[in-house]
Amino acid sequence: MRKSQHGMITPTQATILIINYTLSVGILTLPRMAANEVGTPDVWMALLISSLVPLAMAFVIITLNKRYPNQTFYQYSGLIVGKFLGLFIGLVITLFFITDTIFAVRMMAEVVEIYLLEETPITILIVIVLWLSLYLVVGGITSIARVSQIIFPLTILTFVVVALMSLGLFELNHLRPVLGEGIRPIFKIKSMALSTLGVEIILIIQAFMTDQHKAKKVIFLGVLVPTVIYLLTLVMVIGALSIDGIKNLTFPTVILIQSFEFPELFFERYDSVFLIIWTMQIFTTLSISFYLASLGLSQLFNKDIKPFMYGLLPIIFILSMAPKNLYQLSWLGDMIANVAFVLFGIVPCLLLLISFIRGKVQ
Amino acid sequence: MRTINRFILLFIISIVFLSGCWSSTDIEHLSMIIGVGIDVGQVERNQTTDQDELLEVTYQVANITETTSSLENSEQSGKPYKNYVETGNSILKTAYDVNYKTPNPFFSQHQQLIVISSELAQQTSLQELLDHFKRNPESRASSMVMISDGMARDVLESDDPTDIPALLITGIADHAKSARILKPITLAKLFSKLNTNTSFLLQNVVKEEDEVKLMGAGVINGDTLTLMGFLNDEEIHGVTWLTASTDEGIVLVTDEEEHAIVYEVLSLKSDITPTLKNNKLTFNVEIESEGWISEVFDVSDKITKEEQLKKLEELIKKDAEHDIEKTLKKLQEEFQVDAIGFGEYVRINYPTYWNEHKDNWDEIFSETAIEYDVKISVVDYGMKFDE
Amino acid sequence: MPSFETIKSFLPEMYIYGIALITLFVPLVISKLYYLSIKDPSKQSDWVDETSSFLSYDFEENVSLVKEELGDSSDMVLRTFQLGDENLKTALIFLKDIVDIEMINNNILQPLMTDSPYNDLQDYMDQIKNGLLPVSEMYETDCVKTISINMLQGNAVLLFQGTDHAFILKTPKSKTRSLEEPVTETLVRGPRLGFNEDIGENIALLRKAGVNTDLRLISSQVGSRFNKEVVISFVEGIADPTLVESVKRKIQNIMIDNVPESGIIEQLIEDQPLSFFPQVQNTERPDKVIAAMAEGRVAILLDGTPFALIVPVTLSMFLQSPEDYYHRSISATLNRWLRYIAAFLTVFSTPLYIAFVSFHQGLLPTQLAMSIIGAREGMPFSIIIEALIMEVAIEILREAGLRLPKPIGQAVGIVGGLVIGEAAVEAGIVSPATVIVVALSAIASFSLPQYSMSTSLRMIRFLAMFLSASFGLFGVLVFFLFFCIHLVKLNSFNTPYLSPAIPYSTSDWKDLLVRMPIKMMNKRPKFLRPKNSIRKQ
Repeated sequence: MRKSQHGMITPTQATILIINYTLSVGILTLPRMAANEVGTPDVWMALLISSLVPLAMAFVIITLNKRYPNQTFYQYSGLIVGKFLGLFIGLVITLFFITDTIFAVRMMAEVVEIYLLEETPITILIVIVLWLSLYLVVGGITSIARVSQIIFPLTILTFVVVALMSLGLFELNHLRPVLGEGIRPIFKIKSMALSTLGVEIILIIQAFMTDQHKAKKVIFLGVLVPTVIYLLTLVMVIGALSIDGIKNLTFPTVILIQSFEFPELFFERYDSVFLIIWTMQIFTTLSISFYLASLGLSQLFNKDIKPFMYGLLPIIFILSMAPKNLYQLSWLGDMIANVAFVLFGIVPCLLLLISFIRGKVQ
Repeated sequence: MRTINRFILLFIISIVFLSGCWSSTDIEHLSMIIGVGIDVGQVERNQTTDQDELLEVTYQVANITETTSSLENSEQSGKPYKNYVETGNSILKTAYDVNYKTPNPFFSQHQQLIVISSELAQQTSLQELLDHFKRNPESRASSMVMISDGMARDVLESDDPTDIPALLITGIADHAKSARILKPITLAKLFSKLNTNTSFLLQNVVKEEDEVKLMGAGVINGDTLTLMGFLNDEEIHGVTWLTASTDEGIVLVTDEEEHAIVYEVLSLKSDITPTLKNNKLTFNVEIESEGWISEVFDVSDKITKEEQLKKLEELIKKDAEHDIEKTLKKLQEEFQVDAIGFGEYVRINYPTYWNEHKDNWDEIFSETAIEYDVKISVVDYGMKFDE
Repeated sequence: MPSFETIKSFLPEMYIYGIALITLFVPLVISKLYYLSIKDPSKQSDWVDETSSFLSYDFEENVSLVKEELGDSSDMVLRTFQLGDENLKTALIFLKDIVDIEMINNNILQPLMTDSPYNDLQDYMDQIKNGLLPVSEMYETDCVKTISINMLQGNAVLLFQGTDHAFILKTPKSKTRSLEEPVTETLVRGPRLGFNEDIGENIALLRKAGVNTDLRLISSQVGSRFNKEVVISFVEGIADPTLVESVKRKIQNIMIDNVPESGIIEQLIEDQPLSFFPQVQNTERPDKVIAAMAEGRVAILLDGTPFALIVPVTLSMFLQSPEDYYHRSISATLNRWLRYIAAFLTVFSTPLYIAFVSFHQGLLPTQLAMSIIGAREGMPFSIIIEALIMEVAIEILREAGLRLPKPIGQAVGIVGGLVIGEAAVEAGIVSPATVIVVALSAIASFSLPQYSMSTSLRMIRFLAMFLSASFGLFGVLVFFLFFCIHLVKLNSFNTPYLSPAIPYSTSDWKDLLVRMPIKMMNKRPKFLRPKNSIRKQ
């Protein structure tokens, strides 16, 4: 039944890859962004509504994928729009994944720098993480999927534990009134829809899946689980610190974890423990984008993947040093999310349309 | 070729392992700050330096050699803590200055308490005073913030050779089962109050006859975020009745024959409902409490008979209403601020009204009529059973 | 041009490019070194397979051929005699110290010399085959190599004039110790029987431990100079045929002059020789081997060692003990948990201690931080040096205790552990907290059921300590991720090393974190791809 064929992943693994890719920087920053955008305690409803956006995008994508089974987007985009334009779209997507890697690795290094290792040069942190990531991606998508399978339960466990621990600070009043300012605020979903984006990698990883007919289940769970985790984060953070309390905190989730203490257990504070788990989480995010970027280059130019992996390494490193501070980095994050929306929301729609028309002509 | 490769490998390994340790400091080379006290700078004591030294910051550092190690000679050694005092015009600057006097760098991740003197809090906004603690990723969001009616540095002094005052104070605040002590307010909780310009109460800590006491609370004005004045113990109890912030506490009443009777609260509920009619706001507070009689100073002990129950409950109710009245009077008339969070209920129940009036909420609050009704039920007389 | 200026402002400084180069070259060099170190063995073509000579019809030449093959050793006995009326020249050759002389005298020489009715060579040879000699096993061969190997195994060779065939007669004298309980794998409950050095006896033990018609034994020879018998054992109908094939192929591909112990085979057949982790399980217990074969795994037995090898193996198997199945499910589960915790502590207790004490002091409860500071006040060394001193001391103690005779070994343990530890603390060289942590990790490592795994874990702990001393918790994380990636890539005979945990194989989780009651374990582990998966109805 389960073939341990090289380079293939099971639907479970695909789901976990999507979940791991989705859960990244948003865990730390989403409450602030949501609080600033929505402004009322109804953010959690806005989040639920916003999760429909990636779901809809993913449905378009899997419909498109279905027309070209066992091929990645890099391979079949040329078939739809012609070789040249296909190459162009492929390169843009590759560039997107490279930028995504850069953002993830830099963000991770920044957070580690702030909370864990104050005086260690950020370059060293980035280099070490990139080496680790290279070691992982050289093993192909199977290795990435398996490492994600190790990290995923740890993340879930940590989240549940953190949520339970912060119950002592939880005040229901902070989440009230429900719909106090009418229904309008809950449609201010831009920042949340962008943070919960991640399911788009199904565009490429579906080709590696063993049971491709299960793609619908994969994307459904791939959207549902991150949404639940983000929901939990939002509710816990806002319930403890209130909407107004988090508006100008850089990483409200960390503040939440810093605010409770359980000295009777082995640790007194849990922020470092949580951040370590978060670092692992973002490590998978950046490894997935790293892999997808190298995969794109290798499939677009029809060459072996390994040289591209090695070659991308210094490029990613140099570019990750370009942002000067957290503000520029956050700006980069916003840009990535916007581009992702266009690239994985609109482009697949157009391609699907063209593909339908072409299919009819033939 | 192979030898070159080996050298490169050796080089890499040495880079990775030897150049590390940037951020590492062994734990014994740190001066652990336990508490911080902030006072008004004593300008005349600092004639050598500039005039604008606004703050006098006291850092309480654990003096560990003498607390835990070498148990046999702990009696003869000094106190388990050491206070460093430094003046300056910013918190961080004083921290840097005082670090010149300590053998080890400061380490604030174990900081448990921030005490601000009332004099300083009256002049300077808390937003400014606590800004450093908000920005610094090292600071502990769970450390408690208190006001001192007096000098903060005095609070952080103790003659007892075994106590660290900051730990003592936080210990009391954590465990005290009293309706007269506020729930501890941590930095994390304070941030949201400072952001929204809400008025609130801060626990007051004073030094009385060489003893540290938690009594009363400072009232912080939401607009200026400065201290306006203090509520005393009774008024705090009134706050507790109104907001049902704790289930603990006792009420001591005397009957007509001057016998002391102690009512111990088992449960306390308060239901605050704002009503908006014709753009006029009123509050109705339903307070329900259950408790038992846990001590009676009366030989005959007739008060604990069934027929006396109504009378007893009435007595307790009167006491509660007295406290509440005093509290509300002080808040509404003297300070004219809503420091007990009634605004929160307006925000929840009348969001549009709240959005319009949240900027002058304190004014509205001081003019709002607040109805309250206390229901006391004595459910038991303790472990004493008379037929 | 302002836009150019903006772009320029985002360009990193020069040294970044230098680091970028290092970033590129380090992995390149490492991967290059890696591929150099595990060169494909098939390319080493200077290996010559010695061609064997064959017997001829010339009796004298045959005798000298056999003699030459064994180099005319001093322990070789060449007994020549003549048979019958035609004085048929006959030679019996054997190595005198490894054959059963009694048997040769009574069962070979006596029938041949006294009551042999010789008249015709062909007829006589048929008689020998059909029952003249009361010997249990007898083969005919013309290959000198086979003859010499058989002689080395304690068999006698009978040569006749006028034929190019020799008879090999099974006459070995077994020189083995008695069966004892395995020292390295003692159990509270379970058979008190271990393998010994004789492969025949070991096979007998296997046969006895698992009476099964489907038990297959495939024998072959390894070692080009010092020949040894190796037996691949599996259960037909359960074991995955491709697995059996790959084991066979790997055993056949072994080209080495000498195989003194199964550890050599283990190292030659594992996929990743540079890995920290053992990829083959070894055991002295027949019950363990049978249990493994019943799950669909393959065992390899080697003559001359009590250690049998089992493949494939996964990380979780190294943390399990046969006792898990002999005890009741709840206590077995608890014990298993204890072992998982012990494995975690073995690797992570010291690194985490270092990370907390020298990087993340804020995580410790204030009181604990104070007592650690109090204990460490005035210590001369940094925490990593202190921990290293203690770790190395304990490793030396362990090694010393291993080499010494048992009673002295215990004394060394006491002297080392108590006296040196106590004295070091008293002298203020190491702090008591460090001693506690290091001792805890050492004890935890000794509680693991497999020696090879506990050694691996102890070794990687040093790496974790270095990383932790350099980067604190982040270093521990890097270590953890590195080994996650490593383990995820590791395969033991095409079985993922972390299975059944990773990749998720939910149906096998009943025997991973918990050991479900036997009643519920109806199927064989799926990740081993057994041919027949029903264990129990």
